[in-house]
Amino acid sequence: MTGTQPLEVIPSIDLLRGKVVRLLRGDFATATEYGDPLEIIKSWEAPEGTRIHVVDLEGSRTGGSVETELIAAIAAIARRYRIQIGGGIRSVADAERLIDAGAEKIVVGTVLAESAETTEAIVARVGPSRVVAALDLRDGEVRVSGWSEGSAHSLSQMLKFVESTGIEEILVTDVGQDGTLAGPAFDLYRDLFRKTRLRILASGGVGTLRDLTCLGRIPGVRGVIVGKALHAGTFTFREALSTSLMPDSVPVRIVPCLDVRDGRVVKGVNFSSIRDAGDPVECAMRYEKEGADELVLLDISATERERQTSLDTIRKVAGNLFIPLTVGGGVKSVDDFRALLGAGADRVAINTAAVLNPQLIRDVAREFGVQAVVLACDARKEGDRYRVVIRSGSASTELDVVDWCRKGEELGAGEILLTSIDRDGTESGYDLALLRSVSSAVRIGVIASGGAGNEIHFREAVELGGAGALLAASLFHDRHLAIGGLKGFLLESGIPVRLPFEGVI
Amino acid sequence: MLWLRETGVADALRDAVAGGASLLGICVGHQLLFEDSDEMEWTAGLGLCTGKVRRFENALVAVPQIGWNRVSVAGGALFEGIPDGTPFYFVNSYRAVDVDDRDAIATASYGSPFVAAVGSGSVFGVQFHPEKSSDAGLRLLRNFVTATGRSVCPT
Repeated sequence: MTGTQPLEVIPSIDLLRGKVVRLLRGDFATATEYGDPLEIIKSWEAPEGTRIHVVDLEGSRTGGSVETELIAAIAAIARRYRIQIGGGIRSVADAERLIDAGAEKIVVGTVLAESAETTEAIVARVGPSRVVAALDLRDGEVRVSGWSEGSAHSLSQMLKFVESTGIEEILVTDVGQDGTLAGPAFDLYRDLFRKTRLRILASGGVGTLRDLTCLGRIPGVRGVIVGKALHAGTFTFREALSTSLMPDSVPVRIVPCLDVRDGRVVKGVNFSSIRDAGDPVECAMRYEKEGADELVLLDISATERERQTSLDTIRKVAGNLFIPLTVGGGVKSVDDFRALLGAGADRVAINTAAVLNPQLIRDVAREFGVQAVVLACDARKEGDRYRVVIRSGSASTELDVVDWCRKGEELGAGEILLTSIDRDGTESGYDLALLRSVSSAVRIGVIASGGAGNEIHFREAVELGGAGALLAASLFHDRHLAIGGLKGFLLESGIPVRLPFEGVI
Repeated sequence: MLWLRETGVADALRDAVAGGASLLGICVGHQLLFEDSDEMEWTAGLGLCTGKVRRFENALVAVPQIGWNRVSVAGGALFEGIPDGTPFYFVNSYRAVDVDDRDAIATASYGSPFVAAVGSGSVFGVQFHPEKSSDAGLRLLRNFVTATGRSVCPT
């Protein structure tokens, strides 16, 4: 939605005395030397002319010292790449020396907050297009000098000043997110675009390739600094580059879920009282009309007779529905799976039976294809881990959710339906940490489930959770949220959705 | 495909098309229209359209593709009244490559661009599932019937 320009992926290195290093929690005593900058950069296989972000650690620590080793390092890199360097640039002389050494752009942070005059002098000397303004933000406030001191300027004042100098780019780091791999501060960047038309370079929190796709959707964000994820081997620079160039054409799916029992849609209230909530066929058709991209039908039959009725229900629903239908609930065997596909389900979700017998996943994947197999995984938080729970949340297991989902993918699951038992029915939001831990561990898609309460929850599940599909039951059922309105909201947030067909059928 | 050949259905389909019948292949039915496929093992297709069926190669996208994807429409009777960029529902690990440009009537992108629909005379193929693509899919099916009259439809 940001136009035709792809997101610029800017790999970054930290330099200390001419060598690439990595610090642990900003402590210089812990500096691990990685080696020669040119060698490290070469290992990225970045195309010639790629912009590389260099942080001079020595400079940022002491302020205003440009060392001979640094100058030499820059000169070497600058033959093939475009260098953007920051750290300790406090005077016109500092800026000049770096530009003379071959840097294409210099990044100013501290001096920006401390001296308008010096900043203006630097801009006047090297030109506004060669200066990038770095803003470190925490809770929407500007921070300078190693992130510990707050600065005296409000964000809006700072933006106004930057605009007045003619500088075109701001490098924005959310200090709260940096180095956590917990996801970029999407909302911060979205908010910045409301305040300024400066080109935004996002920095901090990038942990997955999906993060890059999601950043590319935010208006105003033109580039992203990628450091830790490259050094940690989370993804390669080539993968990041390919991701940024890929068309963003796959809409996220909105998936209403119907609980069905004895031929009726039911709504469970704490499992004890179950009330009738309508005819399944009518509900299904209504959801398709409202713009649902897929329907999940959960059979909560308690008896064999009810189960037979459910097969009829699925037949009727499938016969009237022209969007994909996923059916789950009580599937125990290859035969159960076959019966549901035969009744018209496009995909079948397996849960408890797969945990008790993981081989079932492989068997159904071989028999019916991985596209038909949805692994439904119910998760409960225990300390800082998530455990798999089975039998509709009533029985715990020792299985770790991420391990289990990885194994499920290996065995042949085509997608994972991930439900937070803790959030289910609370309408307090999807469990984003749970979603992110699974979506960043598997290649197959993740359907978020449990906790949706408003439209922002859906956006978070896509951006921070990495979900490709979003499931909700009572929220849609009780008409607290209309699918059409939700899709409009997501679209405004830059997230691709499928809009109603406007032509004549 | 082996089954189609052994039962004589493959020949019957080719004869019917030669006799002027219209054909719409959906998903695997679309893939059968081409010269060959290397799914499982190399197998010759119906050879009604130029092209081969190969697995998605981009390691950055999940295979199979499961979900909606926008389709870029090049035109033609099958997409009459369907705007460019309309999403259709796909479920596939393989797609046609080396397709004759003149036959490619729609494309989509999954990791990289691929041919989403072909049309050659009275033979049509769509990689997506119109029967699962809600109103847009129903419109496409109607277009097929309207444009061609008689039809056989392998899925």
